[in-house]
Amino acid sequence: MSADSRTTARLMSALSLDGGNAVEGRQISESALEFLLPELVNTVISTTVETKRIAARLSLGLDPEEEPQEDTTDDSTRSDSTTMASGWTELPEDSEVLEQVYVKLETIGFRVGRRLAERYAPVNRRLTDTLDIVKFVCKDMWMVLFNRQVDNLKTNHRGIYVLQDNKFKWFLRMSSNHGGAAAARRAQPYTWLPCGIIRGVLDSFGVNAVVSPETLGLPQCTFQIKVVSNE
Amino acid sequence: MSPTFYFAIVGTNDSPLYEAEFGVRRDENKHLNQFIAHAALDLVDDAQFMSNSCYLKTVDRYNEWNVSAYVTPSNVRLMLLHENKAEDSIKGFFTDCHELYLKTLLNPFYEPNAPIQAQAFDTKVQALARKYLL
Amino acid sequence: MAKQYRSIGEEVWKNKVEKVNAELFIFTYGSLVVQLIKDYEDYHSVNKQLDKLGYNIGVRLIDDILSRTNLEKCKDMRETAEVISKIGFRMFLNIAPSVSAWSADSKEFSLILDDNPLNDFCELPPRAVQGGLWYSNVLCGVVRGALEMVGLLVKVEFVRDVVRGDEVSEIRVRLEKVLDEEVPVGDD
Repeated sequence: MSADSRTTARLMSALSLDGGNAVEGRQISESALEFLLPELVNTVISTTVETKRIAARLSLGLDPEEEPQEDTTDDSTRSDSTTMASGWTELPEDSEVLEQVYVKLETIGFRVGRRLAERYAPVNRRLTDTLDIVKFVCKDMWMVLFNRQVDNLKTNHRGIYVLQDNKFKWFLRMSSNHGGAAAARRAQPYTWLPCGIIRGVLDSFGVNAVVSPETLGLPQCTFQIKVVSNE
Repeated sequence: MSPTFYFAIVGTNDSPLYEAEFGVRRDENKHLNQFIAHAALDLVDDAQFMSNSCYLKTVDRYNEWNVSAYVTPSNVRLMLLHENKAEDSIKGFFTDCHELYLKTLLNPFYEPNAPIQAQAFDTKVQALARKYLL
Repeated sequence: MAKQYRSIGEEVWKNKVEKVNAELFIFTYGSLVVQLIKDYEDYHSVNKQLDKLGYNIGVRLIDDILSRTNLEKCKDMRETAEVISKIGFRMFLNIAPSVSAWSADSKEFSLILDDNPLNDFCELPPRAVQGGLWYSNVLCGVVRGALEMVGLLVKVEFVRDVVRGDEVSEIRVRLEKVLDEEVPVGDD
């Protein structure tokens, strides 16, 4: 069998499609995702810190690899993330790094959203109206993502939609261990990924929007969608 | 004379992601084909408001050409220029091409709206054309 | 032995695991890999980051396995290999790679992944193949991290992968050192 036909066979079996209709696909353990997410956030944070350091050293004409001091900081970040029982990492204080972490997580989410939208969009019912598309996010997408629907959807009918999830799944493990402002701050990155996913789904249907999260108290979370006019 | 077809996949930003010709090649017509397909995009927009289906059948005519279209849920347009009418086989061709496009999109290394350059994709589309159209 | 672990693994998967659609996991992992490639522009650094990410998962995931299975300490690497495949992989990804190609000293073996969810939609661009990317390298880190927590220092690496055009996907595991306080080999 050629490499290409193997690839085809592999893709065919992965994608049980029926004329664009997604059917119940492969399943994995929910804990696989629960283990991946915090480490994904940690990786994005630590690699952002590291690439910034490398860039800084390169700009000074120094060898980015030779800096024993930094190696120890890198190790301590790493042991931090592994020693904390829940696996949550402290966010970097450097606001420039934090901004980059936000952009990367949002971008990762956006790419996921683009794929989920095309995969789960209804083929027999065209979504053209923005409210219909937002409802698709609240119901179908939320089911794929979190196995539940959002608790509440509000709109001012002028391009702002507010999705409220009272038990945001990615906060559930978090809220029991920590409380208050520190927890809310640590929880932030876990909302950036779904912000990107929502934006990616909307973008797939031609809706250009800004999505921002708000957390009043864990595990509650709201996502505000602000449609940006294309004109 | 065997029939000629021109096929294009058009991204959400109206740029072509993929183009192919099947049957007798008339290279001198390539730019005209692109023009006809592009001109029909507005008519696709109109037609999709009238339909809940992905397959929009023939949306435009130009001289001897029929322009058929298929719109994926996220508004990627599959356009086919053809001379003869054969709705069932064109629908089958579109549906399978949609599946190929979906596989391309789901690949983590593919950037949405980027031209599809993989040789394997072209090979598979050509095979679908032989199966349904030629 | 293998059969016993197979039934434990299946029992855990059936009754003790909350199951979800795999695609969020698959797409999220894929997007992360692409992001790391953008950040580092060097595939070996990406391999390293994926391995590290997996390691951090592995060291925490072992508790999850032990708490759901009441497993006894494995008496040798052959048992350990079966547990990794039939229980570890089954419990999280619902796959059970086959164990093969044992070295003469029984310290080294291969996990053959006939079916790897991470690969489901992945087609590596040629430059990533040439650059030496091991797309699913996270799995190596997970195995390494989990085994370290039970006192086994191992070297784990991909040697073949279907997304690179190889016939099969193969992870090679080699026992380097047994940590004294854990003594899983020759226990009593």
